[in-house]
Amino acid sequence: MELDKELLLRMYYRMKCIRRFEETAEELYKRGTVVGLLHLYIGEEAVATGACVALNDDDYITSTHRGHGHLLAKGGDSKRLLAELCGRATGYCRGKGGSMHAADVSLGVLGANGIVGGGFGIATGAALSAKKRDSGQVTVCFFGDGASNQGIFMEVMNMAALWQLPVIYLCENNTFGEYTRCEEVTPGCRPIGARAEAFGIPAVQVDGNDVIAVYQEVKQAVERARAGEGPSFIEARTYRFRGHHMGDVGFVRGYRTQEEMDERWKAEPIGRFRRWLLEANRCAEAELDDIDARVESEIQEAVDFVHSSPWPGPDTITEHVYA
Amino acid sequence: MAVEIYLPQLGLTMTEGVVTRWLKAPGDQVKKGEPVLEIETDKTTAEIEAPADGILGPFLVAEGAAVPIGGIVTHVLALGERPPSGASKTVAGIPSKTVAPVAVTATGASLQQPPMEGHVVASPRARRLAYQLRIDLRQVEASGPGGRVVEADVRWHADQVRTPEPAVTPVARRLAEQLGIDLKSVKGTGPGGRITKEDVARSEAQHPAAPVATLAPAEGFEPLKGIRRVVAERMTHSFTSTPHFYLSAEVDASALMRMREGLLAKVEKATGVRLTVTDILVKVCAQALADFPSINVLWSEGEPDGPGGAIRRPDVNVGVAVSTDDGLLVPVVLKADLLSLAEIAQRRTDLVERARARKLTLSDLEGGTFTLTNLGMFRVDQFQAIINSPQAAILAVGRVRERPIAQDGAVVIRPTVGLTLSVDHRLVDGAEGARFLERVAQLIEEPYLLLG
Amino acid sequence: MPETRTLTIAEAIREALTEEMRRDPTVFLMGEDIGRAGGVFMVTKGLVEEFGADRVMNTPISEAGYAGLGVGAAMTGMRPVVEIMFNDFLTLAMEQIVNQAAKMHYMTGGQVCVPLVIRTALGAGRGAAAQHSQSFQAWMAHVPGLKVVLPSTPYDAKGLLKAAIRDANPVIYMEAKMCYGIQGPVPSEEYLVPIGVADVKRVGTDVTLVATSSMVQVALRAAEMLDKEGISAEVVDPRSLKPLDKETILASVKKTGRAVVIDEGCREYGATAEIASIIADEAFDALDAPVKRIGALDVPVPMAPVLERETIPNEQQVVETVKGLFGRRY
Repeated sequence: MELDKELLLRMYYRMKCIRRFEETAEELYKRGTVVGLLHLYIGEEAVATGACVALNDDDYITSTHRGHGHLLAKGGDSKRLLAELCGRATGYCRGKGGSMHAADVSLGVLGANGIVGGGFGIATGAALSAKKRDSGQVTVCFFGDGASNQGIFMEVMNMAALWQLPVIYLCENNTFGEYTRCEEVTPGCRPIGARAEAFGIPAVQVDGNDVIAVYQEVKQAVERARAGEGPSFIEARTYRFRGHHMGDVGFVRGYRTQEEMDERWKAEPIGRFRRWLLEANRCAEAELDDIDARVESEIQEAVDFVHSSPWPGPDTITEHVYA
Repeated sequence: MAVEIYLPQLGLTMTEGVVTRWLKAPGDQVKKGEPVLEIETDKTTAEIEAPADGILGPFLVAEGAAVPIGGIVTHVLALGERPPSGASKTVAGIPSKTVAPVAVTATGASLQQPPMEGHVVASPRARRLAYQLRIDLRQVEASGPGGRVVEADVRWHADQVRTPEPAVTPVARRLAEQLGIDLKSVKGTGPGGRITKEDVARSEAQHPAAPVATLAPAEGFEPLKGIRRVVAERMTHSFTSTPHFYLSAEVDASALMRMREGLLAKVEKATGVRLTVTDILVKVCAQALADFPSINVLWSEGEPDGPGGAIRRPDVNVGVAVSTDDGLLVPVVLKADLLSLAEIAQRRTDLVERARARKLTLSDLEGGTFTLTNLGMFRVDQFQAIINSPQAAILAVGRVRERPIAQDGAVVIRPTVGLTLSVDHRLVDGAEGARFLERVAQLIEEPYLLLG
Repeated sequence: MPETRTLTIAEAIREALTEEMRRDPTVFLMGEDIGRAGGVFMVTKGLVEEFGADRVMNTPISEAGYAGLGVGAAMTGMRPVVEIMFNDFLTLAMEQIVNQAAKMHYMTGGQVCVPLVIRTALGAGRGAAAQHSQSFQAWMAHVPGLKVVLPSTPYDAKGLLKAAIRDANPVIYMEAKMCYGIQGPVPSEEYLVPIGVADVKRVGTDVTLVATSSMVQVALRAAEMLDKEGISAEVVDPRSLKPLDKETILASVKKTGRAVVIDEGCREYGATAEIASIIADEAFDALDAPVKRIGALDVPVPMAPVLERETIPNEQQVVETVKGLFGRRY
């Protein structure tokens, strides 16, 4: 498939945004500026980017506790996201949600979620809603290999298939569910997609570190959904290069080795994409460097924005309990 | 824990008492119920008992000193306990013989745990009402579950024990009089909302009363005290707050006199007392009250902000006005309608004797629903008496005298007696009062009706 | 001339659903057996015939799943009314209700609302035993962000459900399974019962009975019995547990001086504990007696009717409790 340059550069830009954002958040967390719990997406950028670039602004996504990538890939504002991570009043959720509950409803981002599998119901419900309103909107439900073992996953797939809902279940298998390797909790290492197929939902596997491959699969699934052909399942295989969360350091938890990380880094998505773009002569290096510089300055803006943002006032504690 | 011995409220109108005699000494061991001191009130004398086992602390009041209600006179202490500090509440204005604290060292005695000091179990609602009505919760009989004082108990108590005035210490009262301050405008901060000297002084400071030309007490001025003072206060209250009307009747007393003559010997033989006209009149009134229960009622102020009304009394208790050297007392013949003339005579004799000897108890003076006042032993033909509040009526009887009256068209001489019934118009109308008086007259003129 | 008809609570609920679905195309129903079968308590009878299977959705037995769908649909412009057949099954959907629905508005800083209604049935008395007879209003009321309503009459049932559907917040609408047949007057004209407003069901002077849901009838029967003993009882029905109309309850207790709180949830840590402590705290000086609580016995509900009957609060219990609040003189 020939993808036009603008789209490719947009993909690169988005992935770079995510990577630099996560690295910056990591730094700020160590300084105590980012507070609470932080789950980094480093290494998985191609999945969020490939998928979200295939969506319209008014399509929905639900995210996970590792949700910065999804929000930024959907076109979110890094200033407001960083401010939210830092609990400021200027954050997306006015400092009330934090990293795990960040949302940009105007872009269809129905929230990161602190409960593993918390997005299944919401995504399927949004798809139900879109179908009832005949709006043509589709929903991508991002979830991890860990969440695929929650019972509600089966429940929503059953209903999505039953009612032919326009939802795409996108499993980001980043090899680890918290501190446990995926194969340790999956009997016979059967593919997760087999569960979807049991409900009659077409399932594919894709290399999650290949942004174009992800894009193409999601694009197909989106077209199926918009055409009223119902739900799809995609397993994007990728790798998580940081711990489950900021407290998971080194190899203390014993679920992987440095050798493994080094080996997997060779397939790291951004470097790989950049090499391909240049080798395939899709753009000039200077253009990519420009994008890098632009991302740097945007990130700096975000950091400055945080430092100049106020904390939420105490009177906001009781706001938004009820609408 | 120190248990207070305080001056209790012993009667409707009592505001203070005088310590007449200590029966024990500080440091003495006492048992619960043992008399510790004697006091005197406006009406009577009484003994105060120890509320717990223990050892008496120092006496805070000397013999001869007056104590307001609730005033602490001493404590019952546990072995080795010191009396509460600040307990030297010398009674206002009256010098007391200070007694040096005695180290309590009695050996070997095992003492009972005294009950929780002064604690009354009462619901919050009851407490609030008691505070508003200036009622001491310790005086209220509890009927709630677990012995709790509930609101209804306080209301019931308030109805029985009418204190129309706010509780005031004697010193405060005197000060208020001197300064010309109306006690109703003073907020009391003492125990139970009592108005203290400080309250009056504060009130004066905040709203200095216009200087009142007070007459310097004239030479020979004797302030009222004791019974006379109480009588003065109560008569004033009754006369000014009760709308009186008066019904008079001149009644043929010949049958009455014949009956008395006839029964004199019999009664004297049976009881040793002489039957008097008053006795017969007590019986007559009692019977008439039994026939007219609408007269046998008491006035009650009712709810705060609500209308007052009548309290119906089941028993007919006739009070008999007795004049003593100290003043007017009205002991009560209880359930007079159920007593025989002999019994009434006995009771009346006993009451009058004890009244004159100042030996009346509280129960002798309580519970009256009607009063009979007889000045017939003097040269008074008839008179109008002041109602004994909160009763509904009082019958004033003049002397029996020979009078010419018309009978069957001729003039005959008959003994007659003048009756005047004073009635509270809030409780009884003219016609009802008249019917009652008519019945009284009828029973006097035809006393055999008492037998029916 | 406003006309009133006599409806049962079930009919009143059905009428509310019908009217709201006619009025607002974004209102739709989800639940088990609510379509052709008309619902296990026959509440949704006839609705699928009028509105079609798209708006009266018969779901698989997946309480968590379809409650979650309800949340997602509510977040994206629809107004779902989700039925959880027995409130005992709320446990399966707790994650969706408590961690998602109740908190979405707050966690997103107000970006999104969840106008979701969950209809469910509480109460014992059918011999349905421990897993089909519980009353979980206290659990639901304990979650910030939820509203919890418990109608006791047909009038309240219709008005509260309409209000709940129009509310922008997640509302747990709790029906009493033993009370669906209770009849009462319902106006034909449109009306709403506001959420968070209590109703004095019977005026009295001597004691306040605060009763919820199925216990309102118990309290009213107890009040008749107390009348014969010369005790005049006032019955206050909160109608909403959350938000709670404290003012009406406190005004009543300040008048009577005595309170008994009655709820069909288990007594320990039940809804009565919250209401009783509010009374003890804010009407303390008006109290002539301690505040009493009556709830279900703290046991799993036994099946045998002779046993089950003893676990549910009844009017005799209420009368005995009330009489114990008075002194000898009243």
